[in-house]
Amino acid sequence: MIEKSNVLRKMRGNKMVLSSSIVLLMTIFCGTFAGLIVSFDPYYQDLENKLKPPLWRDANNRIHLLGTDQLGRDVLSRIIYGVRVSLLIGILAVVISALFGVILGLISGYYGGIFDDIIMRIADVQLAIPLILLAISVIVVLGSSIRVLVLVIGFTQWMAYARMVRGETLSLREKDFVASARAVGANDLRIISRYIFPNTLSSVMVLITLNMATVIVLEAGLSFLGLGIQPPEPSLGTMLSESKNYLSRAWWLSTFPGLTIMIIILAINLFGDGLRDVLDPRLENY
Amino acid sequence: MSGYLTRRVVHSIIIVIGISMVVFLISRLTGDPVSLMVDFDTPMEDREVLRKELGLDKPLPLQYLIFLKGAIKGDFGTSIRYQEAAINLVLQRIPATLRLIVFTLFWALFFAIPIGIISAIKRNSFFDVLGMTFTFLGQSIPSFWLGIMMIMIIGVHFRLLPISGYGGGDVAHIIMPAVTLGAFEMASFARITRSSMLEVLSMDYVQTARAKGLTEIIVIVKHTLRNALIPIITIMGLHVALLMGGAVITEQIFAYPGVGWLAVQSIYNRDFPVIQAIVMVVSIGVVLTNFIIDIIYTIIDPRIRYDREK
Repeated sequence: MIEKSNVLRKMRGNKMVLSSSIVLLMTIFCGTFAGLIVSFDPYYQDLENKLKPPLWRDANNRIHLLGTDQLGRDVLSRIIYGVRVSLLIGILAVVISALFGVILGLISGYYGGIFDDIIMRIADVQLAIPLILLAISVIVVLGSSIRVLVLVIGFTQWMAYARMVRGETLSLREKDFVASARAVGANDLRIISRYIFPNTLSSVMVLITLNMATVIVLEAGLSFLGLGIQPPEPSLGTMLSESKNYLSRAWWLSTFPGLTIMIIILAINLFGDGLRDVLDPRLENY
Repeated sequence: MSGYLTRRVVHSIIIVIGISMVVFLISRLTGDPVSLMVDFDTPMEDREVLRKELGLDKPLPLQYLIFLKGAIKGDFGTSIRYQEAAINLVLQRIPATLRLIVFTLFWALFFAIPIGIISAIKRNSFFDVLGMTFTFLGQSIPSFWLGIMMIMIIGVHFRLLPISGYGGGDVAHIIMPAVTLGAFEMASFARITRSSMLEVLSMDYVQTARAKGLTEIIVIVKHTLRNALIPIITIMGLHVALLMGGAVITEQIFAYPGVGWLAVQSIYNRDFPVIQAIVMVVSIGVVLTNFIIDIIYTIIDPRIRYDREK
Protein backbone atom coordinates (compact mmCIF):
# COMPACT_ATOMS: atom_id res chain seq x y z
CA MET A 1 0.00 0.00 0.00
CA ILE A 2 1.14 3.46 -0.80
CA GLU A 3 1.42 6.06 1.92
CA LYS A 4 -1.33 8.65 1.76
CA SER A 5 0.98 11.66 2.01
CA ASN A 6 3.08 10.21 -0.77
CA VAL A 7 0.02 9.98 -3.01
CA LEU A 8 -0.92 13.58 -2.34
CA ARG A 9 2.60 14.78 -3.07
CA LYS A 10 2.75 12.86 -6.33
CA MET A 11 -0.68 14.15 -7.37
CA ARG A 12 0.32 17.71 -6.66
CA GLY A 13 3.45 17.29 -8.75
CA ASN A 14 1.40 16.32 -11.80
CA LYS A 15 0.26 19.40 -13.74
CA MET A 16 -2.51 17.56 -15.56
CA VAL A 17 -3.97 16.29 -12.31
CA LEU A 18 -3.66 19.70 -10.72
CA SER A 19 -5.45 21.57 -13.49
CA SER A 20 -8.12 18.91 -13.91
CA SER A 21 -8.83 18.85 -10.18
CA ILE A 22 -9.33 22.61 -10.23
CA VAL A 23 -11.87 22.22 -13.06
CA LEU A 24 -13.58 19.38 -11.20
CA LEU A 25 -13.75 21.30 -7.93
CA MET A 26 -15.28 24.24 -9.78
CA THR A 27 -17.81 21.91 -11.43
CA ILE A 28 -18.77 20.33 -8.13
CA PHE A 29 -19.03 23.77 -6.54
CA CYS A 30 -21.30 25.02 -9.34
CA GLY A 31 -23.44 21.91 -9.11
CA THR A 32 -23.77 22.03 -5.34
CA PHE A 33 -24.44 25.73 -5.02
CA ALA A 34 -26.31 26.18 -8.30
CA GLY A 35 -29.04 28.14 -6.56
CA LEU A 36 -26.60 30.70 -5.20
CA ILE A 37 -24.61 31.15 -8.39
CA VAL A 38 -27.21 31.61 -11.09
CA SER A 39 -28.86 34.98 -11.40
CA PHE A 40 -31.82 33.66 -13.43
CA ASP A 41 -34.51 31.14 -12.72
CA PRO A 42 -33.67 28.30 -15.16
CA TYR A 43 -37.40 27.71 -15.73
CA TYR A 44 -38.38 31.34 -16.25
CA GLN A 45 -39.61 31.95 -19.81
CA ASP A 46 -39.26 35.37 -21.35
CA LEU A 47 -40.75 35.08 -24.83
CA GLU A 48 -39.90 38.67 -25.72
CA ASN A 49 -36.24 37.85 -25.28
CA LYS A 50 -36.06 34.47 -26.95
CA LEU A 51 -33.04 33.25 -28.95
CA LYS A 52 -30.80 36.12 -27.83
CA PRO A 53 -27.14 35.54 -28.78
CA PRO A 54 -24.42 35.56 -26.09
CA LEU A 55 -23.43 38.84 -24.48
CA TRP A 56 -20.47 39.57 -26.71
CA ARG A 57 -22.39 38.99 -29.94
CA ASP A 58 -25.41 41.15 -29.26
CA ALA A 59 -25.32 44.80 -28.25
CA ASN A 60 -28.91 44.63 -26.97
CA ASN A 61 -28.25 41.72 -24.68
CA ARG A 62 -26.67 43.03 -21.49
CA ILE A 63 -27.64 40.35 -19.03
CA HIS A 64 -27.66 36.83 -20.54
CA LEU A 65 -23.99 35.82 -20.67
CA LEU A 66 -24.53 32.79 -22.93
CA GLY A 67 -27.74 34.03 -24.53
CA THR A 68 -31.28 32.68 -24.25
CA ASP A 69 -33.07 29.67 -25.73
CA GLN A 70 -36.21 29.28 -27.85
CA LEU A 71 -38.38 30.10 -24.83
CA GLY A 72 -36.27 33.00 -23.62
CA ARG A 73 -34.71 31.04 -20.77
CA ASP A 74 -31.17 31.89 -19.69
CA VAL A 75 -28.76 29.35 -21.21
CA LEU A 76 -26.04 29.67 -18.57
CA SER A 77 -28.47 29.08 -15.71
CA ARG A 78 -29.87 26.03 -17.44
CA ILE A 79 -26.37 24.68 -18.04
CA ILE A 80 -25.45 25.08 -14.38
CA TYR A 81 -28.63 23.32 -13.28
CA GLY A 82 -27.99 20.67 -15.94
CA VAL A 83 -24.53 20.04 -14.51
CA ARG A 84 -26.10 19.63 -11.08
CA VAL A 85 -28.47 16.93 -12.37
CA SER A 86 -25.67 15.20 -14.30
CA LEU A 87 -23.43 15.09 -11.23
CA LEU A 88 -26.24 13.86 -9.01
CA ILE A 89 -27.17 11.02 -11.35
CA GLY A 90 -23.53 10.28 -12.06
CA ILE A 91 -22.56 9.96 -8.41
CA LEU A 92 -25.60 7.87 -7.43
CA ALA A 93 -25.22 5.53 -10.41
CA VAL A 94 -21.50 5.05 -9.84
CA VAL A 95 -22.03 4.32 -6.15
CA ILE A 96 -24.61 1.65 -7.01
CA SER A 97 -22.49 0.02 -9.67
CA ALA A 98 -19.30 0.12 -7.59
CA LEU A 99 -21.02 -1.35 -4.54
CA PHE A 100 -22.72 -4.06 -6.53
CA GLY A 101 -19.68 -4.82 -8.67
CA VAL A 102 -17.17 -4.91 -5.82
CA ILE A 103 -19.32 -7.26 -3.72
CA LEU A 104 -19.92 -9.63 -6.63
CA GLY A 105 -16.24 -9.45 -7.59
CA LEU A 106 -15.14 -10.34 -4.05
CA ILE A 107 -17.54 -13.30 -3.89
CA SER A 108 -16.59 -14.47 -7.35
CA GLY A 109 -12.86 -14.24 -6.72
CA TYR A 110 -12.81 -15.53 -3.15
CA TYR A 111 -15.18 -18.46 -3.38
CA GLY A 112 -14.71 -19.33 -7.05
CA GLY A 113 -16.56 -22.40 -8.31
CA ILE A 114 -20.24 -22.11 -9.05
CA PHE A 115 -20.52 -18.52 -7.70
CA ASP A 116 -17.75 -17.45 -9.98
CA ASP A 117 -19.30 -19.22 -12.98
CA ILE A 118 -22.74 -17.70 -12.46
CA ILE A 119 -21.55 -14.15 -11.76
CA MET A 120 -19.13 -14.09 -14.66
CA ARG A 121 -21.75 -15.51 -17.08
CA ILE A 122 -24.22 -12.81 -16.00
CA ALA A 123 -21.50 -10.24 -16.66
CA ASP A 124 -20.91 -11.76 -20.11
CA VAL A 125 -24.63 -11.58 -20.90
CA GLN A 126 -24.83 -7.93 -19.88
CA LEU A 127 -21.70 -7.07 -21.82
CA ALA A 128 -23.28 -8.53 -24.96
CA ILE A 129 -26.37 -6.32 -24.75
CA PRO A 130 -25.52 -2.77 -25.85
CA LEU A 131 -26.40 -0.78 -22.78
CA ILE A 132 -28.23 1.97 -24.63
CA LEU A 133 -30.59 -0.69 -25.98
CA LEU A 134 -30.98 -2.27 -22.55
CA ALA A 135 -31.70 1.15 -21.07
CA ILE A 136 -34.21 1.89 -23.85
CA SER A 137 -36.18 -1.28 -23.19
CA VAL A 138 -36.25 -0.81 -19.42
CA ILE A 139 -37.23 2.85 -19.69
CA VAL A 140 -39.97 2.09 -22.20
CA VAL A 141 -41.44 -0.39 -19.72
CA LEU A 142 -41.00 1.61 -16.52
CA GLY A 143 -41.20 5.17 -17.84
CA SER A 144 -38.43 7.68 -17.33
CA SER A 145 -37.63 9.34 -14.04
CA ILE A 146 -34.40 10.17 -12.25
CA ARG A 147 -34.84 7.06 -10.11
CA VAL A 148 -35.22 4.72 -13.10
CA LEU A 149 -32.31 6.44 -14.83
CA VAL A 150 -30.01 6.00 -11.83
CA LEU A 151 -30.97 2.34 -11.41
CA VAL A 152 -30.66 1.50 -15.10
CA ILE A 153 -27.26 3.14 -15.40
CA GLY A 154 -26.13 1.73 -12.06
CA PHE A 155 -27.00 -1.83 -12.97
CA THR A 156 -25.34 -1.70 -16.38
CA GLN A 157 -21.93 -0.60 -15.09
CA TRP A 158 -21.08 -3.16 -12.40
CA MET A 159 -19.31 -5.62 -14.69
CA ALA A 160 -16.03 -3.72 -14.92
CA TYR A 161 -15.78 -3.51 -11.12
CA ALA A 162 -16.66 -7.17 -10.67
CA ARG A 163 -14.10 -8.35 -13.20
CA MET A 164 -11.33 -6.20 -11.82
CA VAL A 165 -11.97 -7.00 -8.15
CA ARG A 166 -12.34 -10.68 -9.00
CA GLY A 167 -8.93 -10.67 -10.68
CA GLU A 168 -7.25 -8.95 -7.74
CA THR A 169 -9.00 -11.18 -5.21
CA LEU A 170 -7.78 -14.29 -7.02
CA SER A 171 -4.17 -13.26 -6.49
CA LEU A 172 -4.63 -11.74 -3.02
CA ARG A 173 -6.29 -14.97 -1.81
CA GLU A 174 -3.01 -16.82 -2.26
CA LYS A 175 -0.90 -14.26 -0.37
CA ASP A 176 0.84 -15.16 2.89
CA PHE A 177 -0.98 -12.59 4.99
CA VAL A 178 -4.30 -14.14 4.06
CA ALA A 179 -3.02 -17.59 4.93
CA SER A 180 -1.76 -16.38 8.31
CA ALA A 181 -5.04 -14.60 9.02
CA ARG A 182 -6.82 -17.87 8.34
CA ALA A 183 -4.34 -19.72 10.53
CA VAL A 184 -5.20 -17.55 13.51
CA GLY A 185 -8.87 -18.33 12.94
CA ALA A 186 -10.28 -15.37 11.03
CA ASN A 187 -13.51 -16.25 9.22
CA ASP A 188 -14.22 -15.56 5.55
CA LEU A 189 -16.09 -12.33 6.15
CA ARG A 190 -13.23 -10.96 8.22
CA ILE A 191 -10.60 -12.03 5.72
CA ILE A 192 -12.49 -10.44 2.87
CA SER A 193 -13.31 -7.21 4.65
CA ARG A 194 -10.03 -6.73 6.52
CA TYR A 195 -7.40 -8.19 4.25
CA ILE A 196 -8.67 -8.43 0.69
CA PHE A 197 -11.06 -5.54 0.14
CA PRO A 198 -8.68 -2.79 1.41
CA ASN A 199 -6.06 -3.97 -1.07
CA THR A 200 -8.41 -3.61 -4.02
CA LEU A 201 -9.43 -0.11 -2.97
CA SER A 202 -6.89 1.87 -4.98
CA SER A 203 -7.89 0.19 -8.25
CA VAL A 204 -11.56 0.64 -7.38
CA MET A 205 -11.00 4.36 -6.81
CA VAL A 206 -9.40 4.73 -10.25
CA LEU A 207 -12.22 2.82 -11.88
CA ILE A 208 -14.83 4.90 -10.07
CA THR A 209 -13.27 8.08 -11.42
CA LEU A 210 -13.06 6.88 -15.01
CA ASN A 211 -16.50 5.29 -14.80
CA MET A 212 -17.95 8.62 -13.73
CA ALA A 213 -17.10 9.99 -17.20
CA THR A 214 -18.85 7.08 -18.92
CA VAL A 215 -21.92 7.46 -16.75
CA ILE A 216 -22.26 11.21 -17.32
CA VAL A 217 -22.02 10.74 -21.09
CA LEU A 218 -24.52 7.89 -20.89
CA GLU A 219 -27.02 10.02 -18.97
CA ALA A 220 -26.60 12.90 -21.41
CA GLY A 221 -27.02 10.46 -24.29
CA LEU A 222 -30.22 8.99 -22.87
CA SER A 223 -31.59 12.47 -22.19
CA PHE A 224 -30.62 13.40 -25.73
CA LEU A 225 -32.78 10.52 -26.97
CA GLY A 226 -35.64 11.78 -24.83
CA LEU A 227 -35.36 8.91 -22.33
CA GLY A 228 -33.68 10.69 -19.47
CA ILE A 229 -34.52 13.93 -17.81
CA GLN A 230 -37.83 15.27 -19.15
CA PRO A 231 -38.43 18.90 -20.14
CA PRO A 232 -38.75 21.48 -18.69
CA GLU A 233 -36.22 20.03 -16.22
CA PRO A 234 -32.81 21.42 -17.31
CA SER A 235 -30.41 18.76 -18.56
CA LEU A 236 -27.40 19.03 -20.85
CA GLY A 237 -28.55 16.16 -23.07
CA THR A 238 -32.08 17.53 -23.45
CA MET A 239 -30.72 20.99 -24.23
CA LEU A 240 -28.63 19.50 -27.02
CA SER A 241 -31.52 17.60 -28.53
CA GLU A 242 -33.75 20.71 -28.45
CA SER A 243 -30.98 22.77 -30.03
CA LYS A 244 -31.12 20.58 -33.13
CA ASN A 245 -34.08 22.60 -34.41
CA TYR A 246 -32.22 25.90 -34.20
CA LEU A 247 -28.86 25.01 -35.74
CA SER A 248 -29.01 27.63 -38.46
CA ARG A 249 -30.23 30.41 -36.17
CA ALA A 250 -28.82 29.85 -32.70
CA TRP A 251 -25.36 28.26 -32.62
CA TRP A 252 -24.96 28.99 -28.91
CA LEU A 253 -27.77 26.59 -27.97
CA SER A 254 -25.84 23.57 -29.21
CA THR A 255 -22.30 24.80 -28.61
CA PHE A 256 -22.25 25.58 -24.89
CA PRO A 257 -24.08 22.60 -23.33
CA GLY A 258 -21.92 20.21 -25.37
CA LEU A 259 -18.74 22.11 -24.54
CA THR A 260 -19.66 21.88 -20.86
CA ILE A 261 -20.04 18.08 -21.03
CA MET A 262 -16.76 17.79 -22.91
CA ILE A 263 -14.82 19.91 -20.40
CA ILE A 264 -16.18 17.87 -17.50
CA ILE A 265 -15.38 14.57 -19.22
CA LEU A 266 -11.91 15.78 -20.18
CA ALA A 267 -11.20 16.84 -16.60
CA ILE A 268 -12.46 13.53 -15.19
CA ASN A 269 -10.40 11.53 -17.68
CA LEU A 270 -7.24 13.54 -16.99
CA PHE A 271 -7.77 13.23 -13.25
CA GLY A 272 -8.46 9.50 -13.54
CA ASP A 273 -5.36 8.97 -15.66
CA GLY A 274 -3.23 10.85 -13.15
CA LEU A 275 -4.75 8.91 -10.28
CA ARG A 276 -3.99 5.67 -12.07
CA ASP A 277 -0.38 6.64 -12.70
CA VAL A 278 0.06 7.39 -9.02
CA LEU A 279 -1.97 4.59 -7.45
CA ASP A 280 -1.89 1.70 -9.80
CA PRO A 281 0.10 1.80 -13.02
CA ARG A 282 -0.99 -1.73 -13.99
CA LEU A 283 -4.58 -0.73 -14.50
CA GLU A 284 -4.10 0.53 -18.07
CA ASN A 285 -6.44 -2.00 -19.65
CA TYR A 286 -9.62 -1.34 -17.74
CA MET B 1 -8.65 -26.96 -31.52
CA SER B 2 -11.95 -28.83 -31.77
CA GLY B 3 -12.29 -29.05 -27.98
CA TYR B 4 -11.71 -25.34 -27.74
CA LEU B 5 -14.21 -24.69 -30.53
CA THR B 6 -16.91 -26.77 -28.84
CA ARG B 7 -16.40 -24.90 -25.58
CA ARG B 8 -16.71 -21.58 -27.36
CA VAL B 9 -19.92 -22.69 -29.07
CA VAL B 10 -21.44 -23.86 -25.78
CA HIS B 11 -20.38 -20.63 -24.08
CA SER B 12 -21.99 -18.54 -26.83
CA ILE B 13 -25.25 -20.50 -26.60
CA ILE B 14 -25.36 -19.97 -22.83
CA ILE B 15 -24.89 -16.24 -23.34
CA VAL B 16 -27.67 -16.11 -25.93
CA ILE B 17 -30.03 -17.93 -23.55
CA GLY B 18 -29.04 -15.44 -20.86
CA ILE B 19 -29.86 -12.57 -23.20
CA SER B 20 -33.29 -14.04 -23.94
CA MET B 21 -33.94 -14.26 -20.17
CA VAL B 22 -33.01 -10.60 -19.70
CA VAL B 23 -35.25 -9.52 -22.58
CA PHE B 24 -38.10 -11.62 -21.20
CA LEU B 25 -37.70 -10.34 -17.65
CA ILE B 26 -37.67 -6.71 -18.78
CA SER B 27 -41.07 -7.20 -20.40
CA ARG B 28 -42.38 -8.52 -17.08
CA LEU B 29 -41.05 -5.60 -15.00
CA THR B 30 -44.54 -4.12 -14.78
CA GLY B 31 -47.64 -6.03 -13.79
CA ASP B 32 -49.26 -5.94 -17.20
CA PRO B 33 -47.03 -6.92 -20.14
CA VAL B 34 -50.07 -6.90 -22.45
CA SER B 35 -50.22 -3.12 -22.30
CA LEU B 36 -46.73 -3.08 -23.84
CA MET B 37 -47.82 -5.16 -26.78
CA VAL B 38 -51.01 -3.52 -27.92
CA ASP B 39 -52.24 -0.09 -28.79
CA PHE B 40 -53.66 1.75 -25.79
CA ASP B 41 -57.18 1.85 -27.25
CA THR B 42 -57.35 -1.92 -27.77
CA PRO B 43 -60.63 -3.31 -26.36
CA MET B 44 -60.57 -5.51 -23.26
CA GLU B 45 -61.66 -8.66 -25.16
CA ASP B 46 -58.65 -8.43 -27.50
CA ARG B 47 -56.35 -7.94 -24.54
CA GLU B 48 -57.83 -11.06 -22.94
CA VAL B 49 -57.14 -13.05 -26.11
CA LEU B 50 -53.52 -11.90 -26.14
CA ARG B 51 -53.21 -12.62 -22.43
CA LYS B 52 -54.29 -16.22 -23.11
CA GLU B 53 -51.99 -16.43 -26.10
CA LEU B 54 -48.98 -15.25 -24.04
CA GLY B 55 -49.99 -17.62 -21.27
CA LEU B 56 -49.93 -14.88 -18.65
CA ASP B 57 -52.09 -17.02 -16.35
CA LYS B 58 -49.30 -19.62 -16.27
CA PRO B 59 -46.26 -19.58 -13.93
CA LEU B 60 -43.31 -17.37 -14.90
CA PRO B 61 -40.87 -20.11 -15.98
CA LEU B 62 -43.52 -21.54 -18.29
CA GLN B 63 -44.17 -18.09 -19.71
CA TYR B 64 -40.46 -17.80 -20.40
CA LEU B 65 -40.47 -21.09 -22.32
CA ILE B 66 -43.38 -19.84 -24.43
CA PHE B 67 -41.42 -16.66 -25.11
CA LEU B 68 -38.29 -18.66 -25.95
CA LYS B 69 -40.21 -20.90 -28.34
CA GLY B 70 -41.44 -17.82 -30.19
CA ALA B 71 -38.01 -16.19 -30.12
CA ILE B 72 -36.34 -19.22 -31.69
CA LYS B 73 -38.80 -18.98 -34.58
CA GLY B 74 -38.09 -15.24 -34.75
CA ASP B 75 -41.56 -14.42 -33.47
CA PHE B 76 -41.53 -11.38 -31.17
CA GLY B 77 -45.06 -10.33 -31.96
CA THR B 78 -46.51 -7.75 -34.29
CA SER B 79 -45.32 -4.16 -34.42
CA ILE B 80 -47.95 -1.90 -32.91
CA ARG B 81 -47.06 0.95 -35.25
CA TYR B 82 -46.54 -0.88 -38.54
CA GLN B 83 -48.79 -3.93 -38.08
CA GLU B 84 -46.03 -6.13 -39.39
CA ALA B 85 -43.91 -8.89 -37.82
CA ALA B 86 -41.42 -7.07 -35.56
CA ILE B 87 -38.55 -9.28 -36.67
CA ASN B 88 -39.02 -8.33 -40.33
CA LEU B 89 -38.82 -4.64 -39.55
CA VAL B 90 -35.56 -5.20 -37.72
CA LEU B 91 -34.02 -7.40 -40.40
CA GLN B 92 -34.85 -4.81 -43.08
CA ARG B 93 -32.86 -2.18 -41.22
CA ILE B 94 -29.79 -4.29 -40.52
CA PRO B 95 -27.90 -3.72 -43.79
CA ALA B 96 -27.88 0.07 -43.29
CA THR B 97 -26.48 -0.26 -39.75
CA LEU B 98 -23.88 -2.83 -40.81
CA ARG B 99 -22.78 -0.48 -43.57
CA LEU B 100 -22.38 2.34 -41.07
CA ILE B 101 -20.36 0.16 -38.71
CA VAL B 102 -18.09 -1.19 -41.43
CA PHE B 103 -17.38 2.34 -42.69
CA THR B 104 -16.73 3.50 -39.15
CA LEU B 105 -14.32 0.69 -38.34
CA PHE B 106 -12.57 1.18 -41.65
CA TRP B 107 -11.78 4.86 -41.22
CA ALA B 108 -11.04 4.51 -37.51
CA LEU B 109 -8.47 1.77 -38.09
CA PHE B 110 -7.11 3.49 -41.19
CA PHE B 111 -6.06 6.48 -39.09
CA ALA B 112 -5.56 4.89 -35.70
CA ILE B 113 -2.99 2.26 -36.60
CA PRO B 114 -0.51 4.61 -38.35
CA ILE B 115 -0.94 7.24 -35.61
CA GLY B 116 -0.35 4.64 -32.91
CA ILE B 117 2.69 3.16 -34.65
CA ILE B 118 4.37 6.48 -35.41
CA SER B 119 3.66 7.80 -31.90
CA ALA B 120 5.31 4.72 -30.44
CA ILE B 121 8.35 4.80 -32.70
CA LYS B 122 8.87 8.52 -32.24
CA ARG B 123 8.02 8.47 -28.57
CA ASN B 124 7.86 11.90 -26.90
CA SER B 125 8.33 13.64 -30.24
CA PHE B 126 6.09 16.50 -31.32
CA PHE B 127 3.99 14.06 -33.36
CA ASP B 128 3.51 11.79 -30.35
CA VAL B 129 2.40 14.62 -28.08
CA LEU B 130 0.07 16.01 -30.74
CA GLY B 131 -1.33 12.58 -31.57
CA MET B 132 -1.95 11.68 -27.95
CA THR B 133 -3.55 15.04 -27.17
CA PHE B 134 -5.79 14.61 -30.17
CA THR B 135 -6.82 11.08 -29.17
CA PHE B 136 -7.43 12.20 -25.60
CA LEU B 137 -9.84 14.80 -26.94
CA GLY B 138 -11.39 12.14 -29.16
CA GLN B 139 -12.08 9.96 -26.13
CA SER B 140 -13.67 12.84 -24.22
CA ILE B 141 -15.95 14.38 -26.84
CA PRO B 142 -19.55 13.18 -26.54
CA SER B 143 -20.52 11.69 -29.90
CA PHE B 144 -23.90 13.39 -30.06
CA TRP B 145 -22.28 16.79 -29.60
CA LEU B 146 -19.65 16.08 -32.25
CA GLY B 147 -22.45 15.07 -34.63
CA ILE B 148 -24.51 18.18 -33.97
CA MET B 149 -21.50 20.47 -34.36
CA MET B 150 -20.61 18.82 -37.66
CA ILE B 151 -24.18 19.22 -38.90
CA MET B 152 -24.11 22.88 -37.89
CA ILE B 153 -20.71 23.75 -39.35
CA ILE B 154 -20.17 21.37 -42.26
CA GLY B 155 -23.80 20.73 -43.18
CA VAL B 156 -25.78 23.88 -42.44
CA HIS B 157 -23.15 26.61 -42.64
CA PHE B 158 -20.85 25.47 -45.45
CA ARG B 159 -23.36 23.08 -47.06
CA LEU B 160 -20.61 20.57 -47.86
CA LEU B 161 -22.33 17.34 -46.86
CA PRO B 162 -25.94 16.16 -46.55
CA ILE B 163 -27.13 16.29 -42.95
CA SER B 164 -29.61 13.45 -42.84
CA GLY B 165 -31.01 10.33 -44.43
CA TYR B 166 -29.55 7.41 -46.34
CA GLY B 167 -29.42 8.97 -49.80
CA GLY B 168 -29.88 5.60 -51.49
CA GLY B 169 -26.48 4.50 -50.17
CA ASP B 170 -24.62 7.58 -51.40
CA VAL B 171 -21.22 7.73 -49.69
CA ALA B 172 -21.63 11.44 -48.87
CA HIS B 173 -24.50 10.55 -46.53
CA ILE B 174 -22.40 8.20 -44.46
CA ILE B 175 -19.33 10.40 -43.89
CA MET B 176 -20.59 12.49 -40.97
CA PRO B 177 -22.38 9.60 -39.22
CA ALA B 178 -19.25 7.45 -39.54
CA VAL B 179 -17.02 10.21 -38.14
CA THR B 180 -19.44 10.76 -35.26
CA LEU B 181 -19.62 7.08 -34.40
CA GLY B 182 -15.92 6.46 -34.90
CA ALA B 183 -14.20 9.36 -33.11
CA PHE B 184 -14.10 7.52 -29.80
CA GLU B 185 -13.09 4.22 -31.42
CA MET B 186 -10.35 5.85 -33.45
CA ALA B 187 -8.91 7.47 -30.35
CA SER B 188 -9.04 4.21 -28.36
CA PHE B 189 -7.51 2.15 -31.17
CA ALA B 190 -4.67 4.67 -31.62
CA ARG B 191 -3.84 4.65 -27.90
CA ILE B 192 -3.93 0.86 -27.73
CA THR B 193 -1.75 0.49 -30.81
CA ARG B 194 0.76 2.89 -29.29
CA SER B 195 0.98 1.18 -25.92
CA SER B 196 1.19 -2.35 -27.30
CA MET B 197 3.73 -1.21 -29.88
CA LEU B 198 5.87 0.26 -27.09
CA GLU B 199 5.61 -2.99 -25.19
CA VAL B 200 6.65 -5.13 -28.15
CA LEU B 201 9.48 -2.75 -29.10
CA SER B 202 11.07 -3.36 -25.71
CA MET B 203 11.09 -7.14 -26.16
CA ASP B 204 14.34 -9.06 -26.46
CA TYR B 205 13.63 -10.47 -29.91
CA VAL B 206 13.21 -6.98 -31.30
CA GLN B 207 16.55 -6.00 -29.81
CA THR B 208 18.05 -9.10 -31.39
CA ALA B 209 16.60 -8.18 -34.77
CA ARG B 210 18.13 -4.75 -34.44
CA ALA B 211 21.46 -6.17 -33.32
CA LYS B 212 21.50 -8.38 -36.42
CA GLY B 213 21.73 -5.14 -38.34
CA LEU B 214 18.25 -5.20 -39.86
CA THR B 215 16.91 -1.83 -40.90
CA GLU B 216 14.39 -0.23 -38.61
CA ILE B 217 11.62 -0.59 -41.19
CA ILE B 218 12.11 -4.33 -41.47
CA VAL B 219 12.29 -4.68 -37.70
CA ILE B 220 8.98 -2.90 -37.36
CA VAL B 221 7.08 -4.45 -40.25
CA LYS B 222 8.31 -8.03 -39.85
CA HIS B 223 8.97 -8.36 -36.15
CA THR B 224 6.69 -6.08 -34.22
CA LEU B 225 3.52 -5.21 -36.12
CA ARG B 226 1.89 -8.60 -36.00
CA ASN B 227 2.28 -8.94 -32.26
CA ALA B 228 1.49 -5.32 -31.59
CA LEU B 229 -1.84 -5.52 -33.42
CA ILE B 230 -3.21 -8.46 -31.42
CA PRO B 231 -4.61 -6.22 -28.65
CA ILE B 232 -6.53 -4.31 -31.34
CA ILE B 233 -8.39 -7.50 -32.18
CA THR B 234 -9.14 -8.14 -28.50
CA ILE B 235 -10.49 -4.67 -28.01
CA MET B 236 -12.60 -4.95 -31.17
CA GLY B 237 -14.58 -7.72 -29.49
CA LEU B 238 -15.29 -5.49 -26.51
CA HIS B 239 -16.15 -2.57 -28.73
CA VAL B 240 -18.76 -4.29 -30.89
CA ALA B 241 -21.45 -3.73 -28.25
CA LEU B 242 -20.24 -0.16 -27.74
CA LEU B 243 -20.45 0.53 -31.47
CA MET B 244 -23.97 -0.85 -31.65
CA GLY B 245 -25.02 1.35 -28.75
CA GLY B 246 -23.31 4.34 -30.31
CA ALA B 247 -25.10 3.63 -33.58
CA VAL B 248 -28.43 4.22 -31.83
CA ILE B 249 -27.47 7.79 -30.97
CA THR B 250 -25.66 8.47 -34.24
CA GLU B 251 -28.54 7.20 -36.38
CA GLN B 252 -30.93 9.36 -34.41
CA ILE B 253 -28.82 12.49 -34.97
CA PHE B 254 -28.59 11.95 -38.71
CA ALA B 255 -32.00 10.33 -39.23
CA TYR B 256 -30.04 7.42 -40.68
CA PRO B 257 -32.50 4.59 -41.31
CA GLY B 258 -30.80 1.76 -39.46
CA VAL B 259 -31.70 -0.45 -36.51
CA GLY B 260 -30.80 2.28 -34.03
CA TRP B 261 -33.15 4.78 -35.57
CA LEU B 262 -35.89 2.15 -35.60
CA ALA B 263 -35.21 1.60 -31.88
CA VAL B 264 -35.62 5.30 -31.09
CA GLN B 265 -38.74 5.58 -33.26
CA SER B 266 -40.15 2.58 -31.42
CA ILE B 267 -39.65 4.34 -28.09
CA TYR B 268 -41.79 7.22 -29.25
CA ASN B 269 -44.42 4.81 -30.61
CA ARG B 270 -44.12 2.64 -27.51
CA ASP B 271 -43.64 -0.24 -29.91
CA PHE B 272 -42.31 -2.80 -27.46
CA PRO B 273 -42.33 -5.91 -29.71
CA VAL B 274 -39.95 -4.11 -32.08
CA ILE B 275 -37.63 -3.07 -29.23
CA GLN B 276 -37.60 -6.64 -27.95
CA ALA B 277 -36.69 -7.93 -31.39
CA ILE B 278 -33.96 -5.31 -31.76
CA VAL B 279 -32.33 -6.14 -28.42
CA MET B 280 -32.37 -9.86 -29.23
CA VAL B 281 -31.08 -9.56 -32.79
CA VAL B 282 -28.37 -7.01 -31.99
CA SER B 283 -27.12 -8.86 -28.91
CA ILE B 284 -26.96 -12.14 -30.81
CA GLY B 285 -25.00 -10.24 -33.43
CA VAL B 286 -22.56 -9.10 -30.74
CA VAL B 287 -22.13 -12.67 -29.44
CA LEU B 288 -21.61 -13.99 -32.96
CA THR B 289 -19.02 -11.32 -33.76
CA ASN B 290 -17.15 -12.09 -30.57
CA PHE B 291 -17.20 -15.76 -31.45
CA ILE B 292 -15.73 -15.05 -34.88
CA ILE B 293 -13.10 -12.72 -33.37
CA ASP B 294 -12.14 -15.46 -30.95
CA ILE B 295 -11.59 -17.90 -33.78
CA ILE B 296 -9.54 -15.40 -35.79
CA TYR B 297 -7.57 -14.71 -32.65
CA THR B 298 -6.54 -18.32 -32.14
CA ILE B 299 -5.47 -18.55 -35.77
CA ILE B 300 -3.25 -15.49 -35.47
CA ASP B 301 -1.84 -16.38 -32.09
CA PRO B 302 -1.78 -20.13 -31.33
CA ARG B 303 -0.37 -19.48 -27.83
CA ILE B 304 -3.80 -18.34 -26.70
CA ARG B 305 -5.45 -21.58 -27.72
CA TYR B 306 -3.01 -23.67 -25.74
CA ASP B 307 -3.27 -21.40 -22.73
CA ARG B 308 -7.00 -21.70 -22.65
CA GLU B 309 -7.03 -25.44 -23.18
CA LYS B 310 -5.13 -26.10 -20.00
